[in-house]
Amino acid sequence: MFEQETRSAQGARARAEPLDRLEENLDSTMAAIEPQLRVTVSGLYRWVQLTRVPKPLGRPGPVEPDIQTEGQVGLFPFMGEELSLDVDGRYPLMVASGTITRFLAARVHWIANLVAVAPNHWQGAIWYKEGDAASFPYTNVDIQAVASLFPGQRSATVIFSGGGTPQRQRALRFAASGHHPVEFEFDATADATPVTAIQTHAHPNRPASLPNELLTMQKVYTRAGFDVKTSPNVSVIPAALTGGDGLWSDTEMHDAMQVYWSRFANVSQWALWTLFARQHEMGNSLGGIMFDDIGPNQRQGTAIFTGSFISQAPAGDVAPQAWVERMIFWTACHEMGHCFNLAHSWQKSLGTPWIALANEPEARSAMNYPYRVAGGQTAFFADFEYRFSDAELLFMRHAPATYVQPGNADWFDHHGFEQANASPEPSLKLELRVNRARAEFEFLESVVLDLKLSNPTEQPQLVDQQVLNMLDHMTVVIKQEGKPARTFHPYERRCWQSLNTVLQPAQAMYESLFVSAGRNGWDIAAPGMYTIQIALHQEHEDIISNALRLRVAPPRSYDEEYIAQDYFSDDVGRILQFDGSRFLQGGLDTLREACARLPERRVAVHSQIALGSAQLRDFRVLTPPAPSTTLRSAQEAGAAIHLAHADFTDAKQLMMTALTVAPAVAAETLAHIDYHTYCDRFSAALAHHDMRAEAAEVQATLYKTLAGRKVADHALQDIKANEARYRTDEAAPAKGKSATARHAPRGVNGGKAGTVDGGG
Amino acid sequence: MHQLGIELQEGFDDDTVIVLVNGAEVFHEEHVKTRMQIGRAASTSVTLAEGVAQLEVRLPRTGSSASFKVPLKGPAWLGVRLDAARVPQFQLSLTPFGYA
Repeated sequence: MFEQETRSAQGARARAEPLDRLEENLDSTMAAIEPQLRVTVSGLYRWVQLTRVPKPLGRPGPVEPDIQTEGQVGLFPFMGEELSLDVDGRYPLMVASGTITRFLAARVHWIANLVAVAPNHWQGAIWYKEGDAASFPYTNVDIQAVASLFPGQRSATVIFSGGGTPQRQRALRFAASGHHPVEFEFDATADATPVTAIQTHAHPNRPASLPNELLTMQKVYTRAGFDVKTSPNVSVIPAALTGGDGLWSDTEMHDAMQVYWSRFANVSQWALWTLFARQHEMGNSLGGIMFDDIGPNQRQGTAIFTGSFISQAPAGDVAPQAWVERMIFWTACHEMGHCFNLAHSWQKSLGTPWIALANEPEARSAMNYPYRVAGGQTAFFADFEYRFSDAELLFMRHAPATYVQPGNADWFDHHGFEQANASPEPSLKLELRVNRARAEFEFLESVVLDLKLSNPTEQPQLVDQQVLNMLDHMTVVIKQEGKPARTFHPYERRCWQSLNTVLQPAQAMYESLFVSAGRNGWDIAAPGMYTIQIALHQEHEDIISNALRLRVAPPRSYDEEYIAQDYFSDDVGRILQFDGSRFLQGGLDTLREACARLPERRVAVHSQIALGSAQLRDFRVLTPPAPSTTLRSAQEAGAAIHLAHADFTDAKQLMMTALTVAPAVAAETLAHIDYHTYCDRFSAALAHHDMRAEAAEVQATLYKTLAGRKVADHALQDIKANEARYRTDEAAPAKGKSATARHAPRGVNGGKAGTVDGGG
Repeated sequence: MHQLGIELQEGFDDDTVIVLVNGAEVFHEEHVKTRMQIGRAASTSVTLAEGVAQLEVRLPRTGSSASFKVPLKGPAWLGVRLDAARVPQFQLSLTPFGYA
């Protein structure tokens, strides 16, 4: 089976490549001027083991078109590997990437930077892995390619090494010069003036080195790394679809795409539809839009409006017709880039890139606005070579295909990434944990993560004492399955004096992180699967955590659904984050209701902690003035600060219930670090009220609970010592966490850091 | 009298936005969200007499706000974006903004 497929493929590949493809494969950035004979090796290589899957019985249905699987009807890749080699040709990035698929479902994607060590021989470190990374421990790659004028004779041998496992070698055959295939279909309305090619010297404002050529849209994307085909199916779209006003809405364009695009299907595919029309209903100010952010298969259609500002050359321009054609051509390149999930050049850091991105506001990229850079469109086109930035090329050529392929990941979800500054042998290891056998949370239960930062090397490492508290230096990404990923924005930012500490080999520091709600609202609320990952940005490297996957269960009762309407509010989120409030009365009422109506559920534990913590001590409360449209100081407006006294009786009841009635549940839902902190805080308050015996009992419960959860012995001994001090009338132990917030200072040598471990 | 176009651009994400010009509310919408593919969220326009107009943008949910003095001598467009701290920032233009 495999040999049969291979012979057939080789026969097809032995045919001469089209002239434009061959031109792009010549190793010269000036190939259009001076073709040279050295053949490039960049492109897609493939190894596949095929197995025949039986055709399902039943009524016949339509065959979904899929460029990738043409010629493979009835065959399924049982195991497969792809290599994208990017070392020569147009805009080489000196990068290799690959996807390994095993047993139909398991998949890992990797990316490495390369250095040439000999002709057609490169080596480099793997800096990105996604998917089943546990099955792919390698850290380095060695690639040797065989170049040939005949594509069927090209091949590459890849050796993976590092990661403490034996080397792994794989030989792959050349499959295509582009990293992905794509098919464009250009349709237009009768009143539009489409431009899909320009003469690059038609306008005198251009880079001095720009070759004079007829530049097509297909060439732009071929140079970006695609194998481009153009659909022969061209339609004239009737203006009647606009409802008579001649102005297009997004919905009307989406309808037109479904009717007139010959490849339309509600699937992800390497194909996209481009419509040239006169004007959008937004008016003259919209030059084009990737309108397809509707439904589950987005980014398949885009539109360019030739009756908008892009067809209005500046007064006095020396070549107004060329200016207009160039602007329409740029707009089409730009909008089609959105179909590949590229963001604007100044938006790279926004939304939900998986890895933090730097903006490129001055980039001479198709994804920048010409009129937005310093010096305006004149300065832009003086340097613009009709290309994408290296970061954009990296994304389109080497990101996991699901992020790039039209119709796959939602628009702006994983919209781009750059090379994470992650070392193949990182100096620190960051782990996200939830201290429970299965990462499942009840509906309404707060999600509190335990963060563990350890030193996996054999050398001491210098870290900031507050490294896990400085959320400014972290990117926390939360993705609900089927929804776009979101960056977590905590309610608070803390500014710490920088104090370094030494993390010895195998030593660790810990912190908790409440991630259910923040300034973005409730990031984890609805039932479903979530993935959480953190990048900790250090000076010289990024420490990437494991991707923690958890499930939020559906509500179990009418009461839960009813309370949820008030619970997922900003007030409740803030009260839970800051362990209480004396001011946000609406949120406090909701938490009291949760305690009363759902006493057996874990939401009650979090509610009791928040309500009780706020009553343990006196609070200063700022009473705001009446609302006013005039900006005044609080003092001028008559605001006052008054003291709200503690209600220790109420607080004791709440804390005792939360921490000691079902301590194992409390330790699990609050997470070990916070459970320890709350017990310490409560013991200290009891001792302060001369209830030392009860304070000691809380410590005894803490000890027994954490011992049962296999917490490290040195941490348990500290708790035992605290209990003894309370029983023997000694001075009270120092309080652990500060008395007001979940996310409070705790360094490696202070508080409980480095002492609570294991469990879950 | 001159027209001032006020265009809410980057950074809005399900925000309630109130815009006041010379103390009068001219825009109040909830769920304002930037469409990332064009970098624009919403817009309004007002007609004002020549001179300096005081424009204020408030986000009541986050409590942030910012003001800008617009010197009007003819038609003008004011772009409003939220920075990383979600504080409104302003860009004045004497030509309409273009989006793509």
